[in-house]
Amino acid sequence: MRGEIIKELRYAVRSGRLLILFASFLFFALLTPVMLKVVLPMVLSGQLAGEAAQGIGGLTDMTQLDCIRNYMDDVLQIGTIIIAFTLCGLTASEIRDHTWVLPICAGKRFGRMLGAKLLVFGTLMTVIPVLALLADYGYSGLLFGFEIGVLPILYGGVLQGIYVLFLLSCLIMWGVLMKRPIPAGFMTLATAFGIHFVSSLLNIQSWTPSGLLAQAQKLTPSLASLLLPLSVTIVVMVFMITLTLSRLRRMEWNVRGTH
Amino acid sequence: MQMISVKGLVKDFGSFRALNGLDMQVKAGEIYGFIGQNGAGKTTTMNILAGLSRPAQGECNVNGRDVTKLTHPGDLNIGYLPEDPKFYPWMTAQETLVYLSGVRKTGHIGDILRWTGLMEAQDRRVGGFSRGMKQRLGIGAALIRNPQLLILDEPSSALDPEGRSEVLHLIKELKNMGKTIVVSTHILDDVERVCDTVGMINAGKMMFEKPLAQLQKESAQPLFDITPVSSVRPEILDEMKMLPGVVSLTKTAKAFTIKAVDKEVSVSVMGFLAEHGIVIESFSLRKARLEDLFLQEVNGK
Repeated sequence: MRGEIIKELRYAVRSGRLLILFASFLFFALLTPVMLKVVLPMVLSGQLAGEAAQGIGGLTDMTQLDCIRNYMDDVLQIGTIIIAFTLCGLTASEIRDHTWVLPICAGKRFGRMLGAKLLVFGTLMTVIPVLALLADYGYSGLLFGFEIGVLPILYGGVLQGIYVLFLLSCLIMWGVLMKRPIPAGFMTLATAFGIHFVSSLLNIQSWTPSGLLAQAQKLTPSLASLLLPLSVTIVVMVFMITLTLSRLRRMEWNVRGTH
Repeated sequence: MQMISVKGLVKDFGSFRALNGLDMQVKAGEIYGFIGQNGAGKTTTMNILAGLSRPAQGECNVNGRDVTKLTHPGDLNIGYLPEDPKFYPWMTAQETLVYLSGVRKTGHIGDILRWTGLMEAQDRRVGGFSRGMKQRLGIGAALIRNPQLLILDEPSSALDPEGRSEVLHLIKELKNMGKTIVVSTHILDDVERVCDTVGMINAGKMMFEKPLAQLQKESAQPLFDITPVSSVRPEILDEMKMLPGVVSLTKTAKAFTIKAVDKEVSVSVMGFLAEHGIVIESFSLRKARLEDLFLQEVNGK
């Protein structure tokens, strides 16, 4: 599997995917504290004058914790979109562009090829949110004053990373089912936001991967409340990857006009 | 020993029947030229032989394995070059071969790079390669597991004369290495240059499968291209077909071609034309080529 891992690492670096993802996450991590500390009060005071402005100013008094939670909320919305469209070609492009034909004929196994994608992009997408969250933690601490320790931040970052693994599994599955990158990206967004919306509406977040994000935002490590969403997420991911492998094994390759 | 044995192969794409009971036999150590018009079913057959596609019916044994029971194309342990091989444009030639081989750089990869003439370009990204270089890299990729059987789908069709010549040279060298090679093409000149056996597919069926030498012997029979001033009635043409020594008669838009057992038949043909008062514009003799056999099969005997 070493060869497959090196190939995915090269793809992440040389296609610029890694840079796009890292820059996007870092941008939001650093932008959120500035927005909340400087831009938001300025905008509000510009809109209102005198006592009203002072009153609103009081309402916009933010803490480091608020700032971090705000960023985590942004990551759920914008980060999901960025991930979905940056990595939508992970499997779909391989099928559409027939780039898997030669590796398959050379004896490469689907399990290893998918495993390498999950491992490389899963690791990168776990590390990037953690690094971005640490950057947000440091910068918001400088602007608002440090309120919490690093450990809860690492905890939140890792949970976000696991949620991103769920997104990756979605992208891999939809890529194989749709065989085209952009529709795969849209289906991933529909799945992620659909689950989030329905679970919020029915108040069953703990039973869905969205529960991981809710736990991450609490920033208070608790194994008991984490167990359910984590187990559900792992089961869903295993199901999606199994479905993907089964579809790949039944697929016909190099057929004109079918992809 | 048979490297490929195909019997009654059927493949459907929706309501379209791409292969309609195809039979094919490829012996070990030969270069088998698989010819046919565009859309005749060549690539569909090649995909099935490579284990990339499954037939609806029929038997298909490749390299000692039953393709219909295959769980992974890689289990066939053959080399396959698609018509338009797709590589990762951000990988270099050497990285591509190392990735496909699944091992770190070995002497075998160096040999392939040298043999395909890509040694100097080994560190260049494949995205910047010409079509000919990609085709040579594709042949190198097909050789990565040192297979005994290579299936090459239209390896020279999109290349310029120099690129074609290079690829044909590589194919000849592969035969000298003892490999069995199946080459699909619609360039009949290539077939005449490298193949031992020729199989012709038309509308998903094998029209003939013969050694090239036998085909050349058959095609050594003279052809008379006759252009009449005005069109000849079909019944006269039918009568002409029955003349002694006439093997076949093929009609084109303004002319007709007679294949005869020897040149002496021209005397009886000329006599027949004179007897029926058919004025001719030209009467020429030429030696038949594979293309004539191909056209004869495509247009119907």
